[in-house]
Amino acid sequence: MAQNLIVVLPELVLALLSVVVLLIDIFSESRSRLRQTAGLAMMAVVLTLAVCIALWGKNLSGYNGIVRLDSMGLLLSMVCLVSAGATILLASDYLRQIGSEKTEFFLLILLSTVGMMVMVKAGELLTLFIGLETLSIPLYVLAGFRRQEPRSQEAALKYFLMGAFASGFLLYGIALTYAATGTTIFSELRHSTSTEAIAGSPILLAGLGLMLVGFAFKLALVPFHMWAPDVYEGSPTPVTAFMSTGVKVAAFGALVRLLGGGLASLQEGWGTALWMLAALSILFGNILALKQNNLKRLLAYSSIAHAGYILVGVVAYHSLPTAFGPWAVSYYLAAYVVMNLGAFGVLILVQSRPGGAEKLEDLRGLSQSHPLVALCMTFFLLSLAGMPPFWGFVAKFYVFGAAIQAGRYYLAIIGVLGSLISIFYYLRIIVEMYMSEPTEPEPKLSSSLAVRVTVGAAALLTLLGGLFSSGLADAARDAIRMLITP
Amino acid sequence: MEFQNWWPLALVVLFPAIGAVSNGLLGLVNQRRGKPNKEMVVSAIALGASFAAFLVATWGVLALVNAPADEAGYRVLSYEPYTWIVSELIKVPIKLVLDPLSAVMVLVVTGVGFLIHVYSVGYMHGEEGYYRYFAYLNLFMFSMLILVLGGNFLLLFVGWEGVGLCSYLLIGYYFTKDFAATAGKKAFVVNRVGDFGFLIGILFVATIFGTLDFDTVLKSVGEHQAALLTPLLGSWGPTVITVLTLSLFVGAMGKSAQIPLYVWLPDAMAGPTPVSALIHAATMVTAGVYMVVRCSPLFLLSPTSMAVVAWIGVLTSLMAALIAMTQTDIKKVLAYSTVSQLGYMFVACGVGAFGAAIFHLMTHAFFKACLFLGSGCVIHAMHHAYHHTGDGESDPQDMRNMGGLWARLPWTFLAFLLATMAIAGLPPLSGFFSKDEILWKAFMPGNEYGSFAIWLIGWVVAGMTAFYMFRLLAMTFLGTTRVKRETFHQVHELPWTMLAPVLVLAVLSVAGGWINIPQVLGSESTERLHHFLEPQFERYRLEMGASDHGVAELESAGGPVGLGEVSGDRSPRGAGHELLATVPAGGHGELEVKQELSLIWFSVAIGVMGMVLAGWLYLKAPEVLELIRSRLGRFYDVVVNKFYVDEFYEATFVDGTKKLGENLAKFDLARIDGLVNGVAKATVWTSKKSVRGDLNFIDSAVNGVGESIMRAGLVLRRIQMGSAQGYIVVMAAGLFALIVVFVLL
Repeated sequence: MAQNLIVVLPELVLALLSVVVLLIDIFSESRSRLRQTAGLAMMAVVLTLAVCIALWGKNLSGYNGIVRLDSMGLLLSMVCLVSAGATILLASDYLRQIGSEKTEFFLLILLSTVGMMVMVKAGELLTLFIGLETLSIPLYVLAGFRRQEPRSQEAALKYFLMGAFASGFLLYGIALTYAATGTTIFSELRHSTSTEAIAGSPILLAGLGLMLVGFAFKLALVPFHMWAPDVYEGSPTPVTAFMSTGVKVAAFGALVRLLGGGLASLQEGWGTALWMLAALSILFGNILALKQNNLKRLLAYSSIAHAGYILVGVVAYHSLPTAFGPWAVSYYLAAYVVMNLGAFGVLILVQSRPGGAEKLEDLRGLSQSHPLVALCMTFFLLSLAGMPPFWGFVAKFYVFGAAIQAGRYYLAIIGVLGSLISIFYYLRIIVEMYMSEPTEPEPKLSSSLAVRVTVGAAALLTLLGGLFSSGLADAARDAIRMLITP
Repeated sequence: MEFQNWWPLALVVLFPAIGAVSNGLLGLVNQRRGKPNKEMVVSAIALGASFAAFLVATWGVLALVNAPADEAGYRVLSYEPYTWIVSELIKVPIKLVLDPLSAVMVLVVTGVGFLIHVYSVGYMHGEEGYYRYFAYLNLFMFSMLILVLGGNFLLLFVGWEGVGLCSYLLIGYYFTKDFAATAGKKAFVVNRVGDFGFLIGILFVATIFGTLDFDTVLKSVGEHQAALLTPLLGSWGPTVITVLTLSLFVGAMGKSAQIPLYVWLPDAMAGPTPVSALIHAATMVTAGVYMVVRCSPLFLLSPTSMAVVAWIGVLTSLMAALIAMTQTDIKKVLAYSTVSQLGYMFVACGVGAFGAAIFHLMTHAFFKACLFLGSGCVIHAMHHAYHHTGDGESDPQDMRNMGGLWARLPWTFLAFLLATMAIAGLPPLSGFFSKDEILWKAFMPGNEYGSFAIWLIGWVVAGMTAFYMFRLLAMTFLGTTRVKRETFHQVHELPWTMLAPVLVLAVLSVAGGWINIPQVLGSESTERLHHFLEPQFERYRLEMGASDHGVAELESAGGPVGLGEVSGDRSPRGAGHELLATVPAGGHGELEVKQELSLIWFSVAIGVMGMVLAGWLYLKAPEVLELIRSRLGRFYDVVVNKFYVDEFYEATFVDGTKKLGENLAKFDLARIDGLVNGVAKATVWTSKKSVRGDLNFIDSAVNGVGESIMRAGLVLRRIQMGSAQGYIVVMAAGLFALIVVFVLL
C-alpha cells in the first residue's frame, strides 16, 4: 500500500497542490491575484520537483505494475515540470498584456502536467490513455484561452477535433491489442507477444498500427501533422510553448515505454513504420518551414522536424541491452524542451511590444534595440539548428549516433540532411535580427523580470549543456540503465 | 612519453575568445549607455588578443621542437581539459593537439592573422560597427584555431562551422548593401552542400573506427584496411574508403572553393578587404586543404579519391585562371587567383605531395594576404581620392579606372610587385619553390598518383598566373594613368600602420620559401619544412603486414620508386607512402636530378613569358589585345561571364528548390480541394451546419446572445471546415499507407 502511494507520490502532490491553489485563488481578494496565483502555481511545481528529486534512484512499480516509478519516469517528469514552470513564468505577463487575467490558466497548466507525469510513468495501456486525456482536456481549454480572438477559438476547436480523433485511434488500438493478447500491462504484453502465435496475429498488428496513428497525431508527425501549424499559431504563445514541449515529452516517454517495454518483440513491424514517419517528418517539416513568415508557424514546422529527429532515437531502440536509443531520446527531449521554451520566451518578449506581432519582420534589427535578447535568441536558434557547440548539436549527435549504432545509416543521413536544411530558416531569423535596420526606433519590450530570467536561464543552459554535456549525459544514462534492468 | 600535456595550448585558443567576448560586451554596454565606442580601446583589445595568441603559439612551437620525440622522431604536445561527449558509440574529449602539421597552420593563422588585425585598425577606421568587426575577427581567429588545433573530427567540425559563421557575418558586414547580403547568403548555401558531405564523412569515420580521434583513426587505418577496401555494392561498387574520402572531399570542395562549389568565393569579396585577405585567402579557405592533408593516410588508400582530388584541383586552377585573366575588378582577379591557387594545393594533395600542399598553403598565405592588403591600400586610396573630389560614380575597385599609380603609392607598389613576382613563381621568391615542388611531384616518374597531363595543365596555369598577375600590376600601377587629373593628385600613400603589415608580408613572400629549398638547388639546410613535417607522415605510414589484396596492390604500386635508387635505409614496403610523404628519399637518381632541374627551367620560362606577354599587351600594344579579343569572339564572352556557371546554378538549383518549397507549402495548406470536393460537398455542408450549432451554443452560453452570432460567423470563416476535412483526409491516407507498410513489409 505504502509502496503504491510512493509510486504516484509526485502526481498526488501536484494534483493536491493544484486543488489548494484553486481554493486559495477562489477565496483570494488580493488585487494582484494573477501574480499571487502564478506564484502559488510556481511553488507547487517546485515542490513537486523536490519530491521527484527526493525519489531519485528508486525503482518501484505500483498497483500491480500499472504505474512505474523509475529513473526515466522521474527524469521525464522533471522535464515536464520544468516545461510547466517555464510556461507559468512566461505566461504571467502575457496574460495581463492580452487583457485576460484569468487565473485558471495556471491551474489548467498544473492539471495538464499531472497528466503528462502519469503518461511518462504509465506501465499499462489504459493508464497511459487516462494520462493522455488528463493532459489533453486542459490543453483544449488553454488553446482557446484568448476567447475574443477568432484564431484562438479556431485553434481550440481544431485541436479538440484532432485530439478526439487521436484518442479514438488510440483507444481502438488499445482495444484490439487487448483482444489479441488479453492484457494491457506492458510487462505482460511483452511476455505474451514473445510467442509466435500472438505476435503474428493480424488483430495485434492492427491494434499496434492504430495506436501508432494515435501517437503520430499527438506528436504531429508527417502526415498526421497538419493541425499543428494552425493550432500553434492560434493558441496563446505560452500555451504553444507548453504544447510544443511538454506534450512531446509525455507522448515520447509513453511511446518509448510502450514500444520498448511492451512490444519490443514486434520491433520489426513498428520499426519500419516509425522510420518512415521519422524521415517524412524531418524532410517535410524542414522544407515546409522554409517558406514561413509567421514565427509561430515556423516554430511549429520546426517542432515537427524535431519530433522526427527524436523519433530517429526511438527507432534506434534496436538493441535493448545497450539502451542507447531511449537514452538519446530522453537526452534530446531535455535539450529540446530548454531551447524551444527559450525561443518561445523570446517570442513572448517581442510580442510584449506595443503592436508587436509574431511575424519575421517583427524581429528586424532586434540586435540593435535589444542586443542581449537577440543574443539569447541566436543561441536558441543555433542550438535548434544543431550547430556546435550548443546543446542541440550534442543531442543530435547522440540521436544520429544511436541510429548508426542500430544500423540505420539512412536515417542518420536523412537527419543530417534535414538539419542542414533547417539552418536556412533559423538563420533567416538571425539575419533579420542582425542584418537589417529596425523598422521603428527603439521599440521597448516589456521588462518583466520573470520572462527575462527564464529566457536568460534557458540561453545559459543551452550553451552550458553543449559545452559540458558529458556530466548531464551521465545522469541521463544512469536513468535509462535502470529502465533496462528489470 | 608520447603525448605531452601542455596546458598553455589552451591559451592560444582562449585569448582570441576573450578578445571577442570582451569587445562584444563592451560594444553592447556602450550601446545601451548610448556612448560611442572608443576605437583605441576596441583595437587594443583585439590586437592584444591576437598578438598574445601569436606569442603563445610561437612558444608552443618552440616547446614542440624541444619536446621529447618517439623513436620515429614524432613530437606532439596536447592538452585535454575534459571529456566533451560520452556515448556508448563514441567518446569525444576536448583535445587540442600541436603536432608538426598544426604547428605550421597555427603560426600562419596567428601570424598572418595578427598582421591583418593591425592593418584593419587603419582600414576600418571610422566605419560603423567598428567593435562588431573586431569582435567577429577575433571570433574567427578562435574558430580557426579550434579547427587547426582540434585533435578529433568533431572539434575540427566545430571550428569548421565557426569559421563558416564568421565568414558569413563578415561577408555580410556591409549588410545595408544588397549585394553583400546576397553574397553572404550564397557563401552560406554553397557551404551547406559541402558540410553535408563532410558530416557524412565524419559519420563514416565514427562507424568504421569507433572513434573520432585523429591519431587513433589514422593509426588504425592499417588495421581496418580489409574493411576499408571492401566494395560497397558487389565487386564493381566503390570501396568504403573511396566513399568516405570523397565525402570528406566534398566538404573540402565547399570550404576551399573547388569546382563545382567555388562560386561563393568571388562573391565573398563583398566583405571588407582585410577580411578577404584573412578569411578568403590566407586561412579559412585553406581549411579544406588542411583537412585533406590531415586525413592523408585515408586518402592514400583510395587511388580513385586521389585522382579525383588531383583532377578537381587542376581543373579548378585552370578554369579560375582563365576567368582571372578577363576580370577588371581588382579584388575579383585576386579572388579567382585564390581559387586557382587552392586548386594547386589540391593538385599537390592528389598527387600525394601533402607536404608540398602545406608548403604552398603557407607561401600562398603570405603573398596572397600581401596582395589583398595591397589592393586594399589601392582601393582605400582611390576611395578617398574620389571622396575628396566629390566623385561618387567611379568604382574604386575597377582597374580600368587606374594605371600609373606607382608614382602615388610607391610603397604599396613595391610590396605588390614583390608579392606578384612571388605568386608568378619567379626565383628565388617563395611562390617559386612551393609551386615548383607541386609541379615536380605531379611529373615525378614513379609517382603513381601523378601524371603528365596534370603536370602539363599545371604548367600552363603557372604561365597564366604570371600573365593575369602582371596584367593586374600593369593595369593598376604602370603605364599612363587613366585616373582623372584632380583625382590622381588626391591619391595618397596610406599611414604606416597600414603599410607596415603589407611590407612585412612582402618580405615574407620573398623569403618564406627559403625554409624549404629543394635538395637539387641547395647544398645545406634544404627542405627544412619537410624535415619538420616528415615524422607526421611517417607516423601513419601504412603497415603492410596485413594480407589483403588491396594492400598487395598498393605495395606493388608503391614498390621501388623512380629511376634512381630509392633510399636504402627504408624498406620498400613503405616506399609508396614515403614518396607521397613528400620526402624525397636520401639519394636522388642522376636522371631525376636532371629532370627536376629542367622542369624548374621550364616553369621559370613560362612564368617569365606570361609576365612579358602581359606587360607587352597591356602597356605597349593595346591594339594587339583588342585584336585577340575580337578573334576570340564568343569564347572571350563566355570567359568574361565566368562560363555562366552562376546563371546555370540560379536557373536549376535555386529556382528548382524554390518551386519545390512553394508547391509543398501549397499542398500543406490543405488546398486539396479536389480531393475533398470529390469525396462529398454535402458532407462539408452538413458539418458546417453542425459546427455552427455547436459554436453558437458555446458562445451564447459564455457571452450571451448579442454580437456572438456575428463573431461565430467570423470564427467560421477562419475555421475553414474544408481544410479541417482536408486534414482528416490526408491523415486517413496516412493511416492507409501505414497499413500498407505493415502488410507488405
